[in-house]
Amino acid sequence: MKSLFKKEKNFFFMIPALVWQVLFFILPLIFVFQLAFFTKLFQNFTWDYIQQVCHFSHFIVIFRSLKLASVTAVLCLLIGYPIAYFLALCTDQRYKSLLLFLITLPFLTNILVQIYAWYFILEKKGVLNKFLSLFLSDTGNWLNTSFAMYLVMFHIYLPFMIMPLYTILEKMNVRLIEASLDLGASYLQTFFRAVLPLSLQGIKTGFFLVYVTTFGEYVVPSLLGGQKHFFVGTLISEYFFIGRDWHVGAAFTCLSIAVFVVSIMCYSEILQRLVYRLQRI
Amino acid sequence: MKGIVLQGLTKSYGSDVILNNLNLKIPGGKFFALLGPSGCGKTTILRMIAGLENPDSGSIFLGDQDITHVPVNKRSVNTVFQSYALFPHLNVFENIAYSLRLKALSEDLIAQKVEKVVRMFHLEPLVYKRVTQLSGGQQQRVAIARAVINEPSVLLFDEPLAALDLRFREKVLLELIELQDHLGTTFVYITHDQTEALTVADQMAIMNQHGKIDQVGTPQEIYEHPKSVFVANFVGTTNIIQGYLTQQDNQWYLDVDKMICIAIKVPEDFDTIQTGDEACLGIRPEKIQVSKKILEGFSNSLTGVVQAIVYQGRFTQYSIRLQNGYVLQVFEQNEQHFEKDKIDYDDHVYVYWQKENAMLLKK
Amino acid sequence: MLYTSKLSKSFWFIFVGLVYVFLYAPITVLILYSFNQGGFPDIWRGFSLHWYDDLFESVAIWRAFKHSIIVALTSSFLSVGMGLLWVHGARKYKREITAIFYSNAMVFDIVLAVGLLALFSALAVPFGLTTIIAGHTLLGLGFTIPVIKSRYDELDESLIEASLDLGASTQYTFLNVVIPFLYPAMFSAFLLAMIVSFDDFLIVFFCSGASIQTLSLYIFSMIRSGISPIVNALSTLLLFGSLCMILIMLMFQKNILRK
Repeated sequence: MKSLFKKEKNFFFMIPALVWQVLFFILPLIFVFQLAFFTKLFQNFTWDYIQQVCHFSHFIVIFRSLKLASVTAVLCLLIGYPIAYFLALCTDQRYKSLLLFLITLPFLTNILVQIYAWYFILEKKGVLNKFLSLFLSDTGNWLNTSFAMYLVMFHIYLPFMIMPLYTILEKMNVRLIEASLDLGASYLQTFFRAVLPLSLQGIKTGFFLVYVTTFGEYVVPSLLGGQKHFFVGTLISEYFFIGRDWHVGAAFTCLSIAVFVVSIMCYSEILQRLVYRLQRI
Repeated sequence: MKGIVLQGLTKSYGSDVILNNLNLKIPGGKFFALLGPSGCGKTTILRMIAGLENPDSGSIFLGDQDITHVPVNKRSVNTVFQSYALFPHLNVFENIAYSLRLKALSEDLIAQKVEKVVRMFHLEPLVYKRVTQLSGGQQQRVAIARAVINEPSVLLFDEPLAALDLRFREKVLLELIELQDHLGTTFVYITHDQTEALTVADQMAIMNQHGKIDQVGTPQEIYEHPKSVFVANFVGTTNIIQGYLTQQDNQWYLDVDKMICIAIKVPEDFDTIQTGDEACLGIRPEKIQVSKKILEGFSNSLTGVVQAIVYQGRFTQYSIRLQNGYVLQVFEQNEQHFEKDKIDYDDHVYVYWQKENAMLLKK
Repeated sequence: MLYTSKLSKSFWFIFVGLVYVFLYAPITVLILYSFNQGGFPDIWRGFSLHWYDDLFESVAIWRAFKHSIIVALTSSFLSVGMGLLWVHGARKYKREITAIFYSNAMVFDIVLAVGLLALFSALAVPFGLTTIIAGHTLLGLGFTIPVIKSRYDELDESLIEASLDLGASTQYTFLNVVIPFLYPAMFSAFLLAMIVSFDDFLIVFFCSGASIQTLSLYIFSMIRSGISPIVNALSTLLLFGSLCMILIMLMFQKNILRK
């Protein structure tokens, strides 16, 4: 049977988006990538730039970001999973959509607005200190501390973790929980042996999502982390935006991505093993 | 072996009253079937026995023990779910061993028990397969094995044949009967299919769509002596004839439209009746004989015209229109032991039955 | 059934309640203080809208808003348009081919932003509204394509076949059969792209050049320079705007589904 829409005609439809994608996504990435290895556009291959960034100070920055990303992701997982579980399995149909909506709303809020909101609370003369001054005499400076940074990161990225977990828990076959209870397991045992292993995919997705975005985060460390230390995002920005040292910046980007990819593979394995081990509870 | 007693169970969802003051005794060590139309509340009852739902009021007893407030995981009751509910991330062995692992038994002991059960259900070649790779019938056996390994006092089956291919149904029913014989555990089997219930049950109960139990008894009792029109219609086919009761010379009759008078036998446990009462009579189609000749020895005989003939292999179904317009369904087995006059459309025929084979029913 | 033991029910409610409070506390404080008579860091002095007055009188903010709106509208139109064409064209291909757009929204915003910066610089493209629009359209594609695609998957292929069978050309079929069916998804995708554009900071930060100011940049500079409740007022309005768009989106979807 003759194809109703010829494939060639279809292809025309696809061109605009494809062109855009190549031009503004693939090309920039390739460009940055080649900056790390070539002195001129794809000419003159060299390891120089990579060597320059394989320096202790750069690795410190990368690991600092890894730590930030890890702590944020783990916190989001520990708090976010119970929330997702509660939303998916413990709420009445009528409240579910409202509660879900409230979780997704922060997603669609400007990140700067959220940071500004925290500024308001954490500033030396801000709300938190005003509240604490009722009890304590000496109130601290909450901004420009690690505490502020971790707190705000956790606040912003918690919904990112909840959503994929909720999606997977919502689809879960409820009969499996009933079967587990019927066979004699307690609620805790049912969770570790039946629910957790089946939600592993959601855990990985949520963890990955939070981990990726927090690793390369620029805004929060820049505004709340104090200007003392560099993170991956702020250092990349420094190289490209301010310092104009693109080659080294690109090399650093590649190095960061490499370390990141290795770390993600480790985490994936760790999560899998952990879930397996927890079935023994 | 422990039986179950349900006392005064009431359950509503919002404004929907599913069960109202339901009472039922399920004998221990027997295969018990609960039969009823979809949505009548039988699944709710099953889940309450399992502990997956709690009644609004009433009690559930397992043997002598009141288990109404005992949580589901502490009851000696196990369920075989309609969709089997096998754990997809575990293989067959781990699924069956699930409840044993909870008790932290030694690996050897677990392997021993699982092996025994695996042999019982002929699952040897499948032991290390992922449950998602199994066929429907195989999955069901794993589900039953998983429940049985606990040696529960009661085993619950939620419409087990609903998800199976038609051709396997009879085989599975017979296997279940064998299993119950072998284990001696109390089986509670719910279904909407009357053939299933009649096949497997030692004792059965019929529920109507209002969440009430209409009748309890052996399959034979229920089939031969239904007490209500609902039961007579739900289990097998019945001709229902309505009329008024009259009495003459110690014999009760059913007066139908002042045209037909049927001799009836009133069962001993029937409510008190008076002349002029409205009543329903049920006659199973296979209990009626149709013939072109006059036959002796029947307590009831009527005349009619053959309206329809449906040949169904084992038997032929006739629709006979009586003088008052009522159509009687008659089944005749096609045994052809003796030469019979062939009955054709529009033939005038006689229909005969014994009054003992007709059933006086409550509305 | 609540899949949790009876005992822990109350703990659950407290825990979940606390988390929700945590999620919304900062925003609530922010909104409240936009109505404060006094400036920051004064305590509550009374209800007042004068910050909103200041907001509406600020030339800088209006200019930033104008730029933000232009960028948002343009990039949203572009990404919805191109996304629509792609989804229609890609329908006979394997599912995976559309996945190339899914990474737009996720992977390392900073790398993409500096990549665009580097590329534009190297090609000597002047920075300004066009460069921002280019970047936002790209982001938008990552959101509009999945939304339109999921609606497109619901389209019965036989409708297209019926239209062609009755003698319509492929263009006519596309315009009069496919597009009307996709209206709700296109509308949702448009609003989503608008929100994404308003919310973006990184791309604007790196690709705007010296002259262009958008709302995101404005707020950023205010955070750097000091707190003023004008920003509270601005933020409140932004939040309110996003909320309205989301609600419109939801109501639209509900209405269409009813039909």
